[in-house]
Amino acid sequence: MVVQSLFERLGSPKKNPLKLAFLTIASAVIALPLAAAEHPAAVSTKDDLVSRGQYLSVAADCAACHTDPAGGQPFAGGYAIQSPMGKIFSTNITPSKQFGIGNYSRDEFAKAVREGVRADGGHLYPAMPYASYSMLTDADIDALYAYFMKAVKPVEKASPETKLPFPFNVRASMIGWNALFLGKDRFTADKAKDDQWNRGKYLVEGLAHCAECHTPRNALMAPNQSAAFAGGQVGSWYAPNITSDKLSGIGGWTDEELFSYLKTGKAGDKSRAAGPMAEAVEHSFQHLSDDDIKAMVAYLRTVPAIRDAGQTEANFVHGTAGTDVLKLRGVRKLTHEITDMSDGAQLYIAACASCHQPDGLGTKDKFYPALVNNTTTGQPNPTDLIAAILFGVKREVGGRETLMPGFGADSLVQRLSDEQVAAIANHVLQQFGNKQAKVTPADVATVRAGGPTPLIAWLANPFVLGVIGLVGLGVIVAAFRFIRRRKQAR
Amino acid sequence: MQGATSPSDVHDEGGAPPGLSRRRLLLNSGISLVGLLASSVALKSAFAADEGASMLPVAKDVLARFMAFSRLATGHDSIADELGGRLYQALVEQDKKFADNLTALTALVQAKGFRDVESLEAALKDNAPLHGALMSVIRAWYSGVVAEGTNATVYAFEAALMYQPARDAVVIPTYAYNGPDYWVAEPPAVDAMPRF
Repeated sequence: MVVQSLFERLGSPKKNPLKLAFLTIASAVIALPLAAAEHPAAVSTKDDLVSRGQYLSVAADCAACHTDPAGGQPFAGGYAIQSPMGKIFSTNITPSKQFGIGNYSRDEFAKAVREGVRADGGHLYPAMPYASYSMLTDADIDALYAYFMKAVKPVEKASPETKLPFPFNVRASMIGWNALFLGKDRFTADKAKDDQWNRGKYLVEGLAHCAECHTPRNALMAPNQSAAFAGGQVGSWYAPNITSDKLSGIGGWTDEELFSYLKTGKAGDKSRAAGPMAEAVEHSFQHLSDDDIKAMVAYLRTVPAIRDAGQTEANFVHGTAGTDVLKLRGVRKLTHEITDMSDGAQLYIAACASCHQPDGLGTKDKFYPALVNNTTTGQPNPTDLIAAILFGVKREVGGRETLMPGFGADSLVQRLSDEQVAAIANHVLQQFGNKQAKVTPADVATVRAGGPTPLIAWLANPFVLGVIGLVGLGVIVAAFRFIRRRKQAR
Repeated sequence: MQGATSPSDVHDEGGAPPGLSRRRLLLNSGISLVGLLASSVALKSAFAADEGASMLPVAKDVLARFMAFSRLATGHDSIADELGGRLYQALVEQDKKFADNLTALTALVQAKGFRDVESLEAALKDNAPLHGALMSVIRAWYSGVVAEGTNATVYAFEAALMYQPARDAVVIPTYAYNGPDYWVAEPPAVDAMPRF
């Protein structure tokens, strides 16, 4: 347009050869930057690789672990992942040559991401979801490598060393684990399915590593593939069943609800993202393109349905509005503390109703969600309800924060005992949620302590290990004696 | 304070006073212990009944009569039985004649066929006891309080009728109205009265 108006002002170029020359140069000078501005992607293919790598690193949510949320520098590590085996510190993956991955070649980088092996040959713990990342294509590894090497600022700082107790400190044990559970195949598109489904599968199974939490783990802490996406314990939280089952999974959700849940952490009245899922939404999913989210939804729709044993109603059809406040208002004298309160309905009115409302239907704008028809109160497993009460809910989406205060030991509003949390949870389940679900104070204590201990971590307890050792020794001695006696008898 | 017995007191009571044998002492303390236990159990169950409050303490027909009269007195149909039972009990406790006055009021309403509280109130101008009873019923539903003074029990707060006309726009203290910054949004029109 600018060029055209110049032409008009200067008159027809045919009349003046000098003018023509000037205009040719002028239009070239003006048009070049214009074209560049209109197609920024076309400027340089190298930067394209880097920006694609950045997008992939968000989809893979590398920062979730490798950036310490407590003020750590991007990708400098040092975040303690609370595994059942002990604290695993995330590593510095900035291109620092001394402390990070600055000396990694592209292939060494690929080996770490997809096979869980460091450049020095040491094995990573599967807290790094390399079993999921093993699916990543070579092209995406190239992009990620370009991003980390060129666009991430090196941080010259060592991250703390991970020191797990015996036997988990033997990193070579992961060789056996990898042989059993690590897929060697990179992603290949299923020609029978459309592009959207294939992209969704790549994201769900690979980059976004959904199965790391949503698929239950077996005795060796590897995903139990026969129960893929049927729900698993993640520390204090429970990653729910996200198979296509209409009652236990997400089969009864609309596409819009699933899209909204991944993009904003809110799914109508059905659910709100909390705990590790809130982190995934906050750090990863909200930044993904709409097409990628839709692709994930399309793939999740086809995950084989698995129903929780004995379930007859969907997780989001439970509960009725409460009227307890009409019976309980004024029954008890007001005090500053509610430490002596033990009745669930009264505790609900004292500690929960100011936001979720006395009837449990939340506020009109749904900022404070209804507890009725809510999957957190309606799913058979009440772990997430307990965890939400103890640790609260926190997520920031689109620059706006959603916050529910926790009522655990660090609470700034009200500390509740295990008995009180159990009483509230049971009242909420009875009135607003799944009547079959029950919570004991011991359940609350377990969630408070970071979730149940898996068998393998329990077996590795020095005392248990000692007892097993003694029993084993006893068996060997007995067998030896038995053999000797038989020899003597002959 | 009961445990503030000095060592000398204990010493003094060491020997049984004349006329009180050891057997008698044991028997007496046994009886008083049983009595104490029984009374504490009775107290506890009374308290539990109050706390649980699943069973309305007011007879069904009495409650139905009170609720019907309350609907006329307040002009609202959506008032709750759970609250009505407790308000009725509090009104009876406050005024021994309330039950009789209510009977008289319902009889009057039936006989004269009053359709609204205004006509009933006009007819009670010269009847102080019944007028007072009507006013106490209205006051209880609107304020959620029955007794006078700063120590009065609050039976209804967010359910008190006085909050309902502005409920669509005004936050009820201690209860979240909407998410943060809700007040930035355009308030609902004033002429649209919320239904309650």
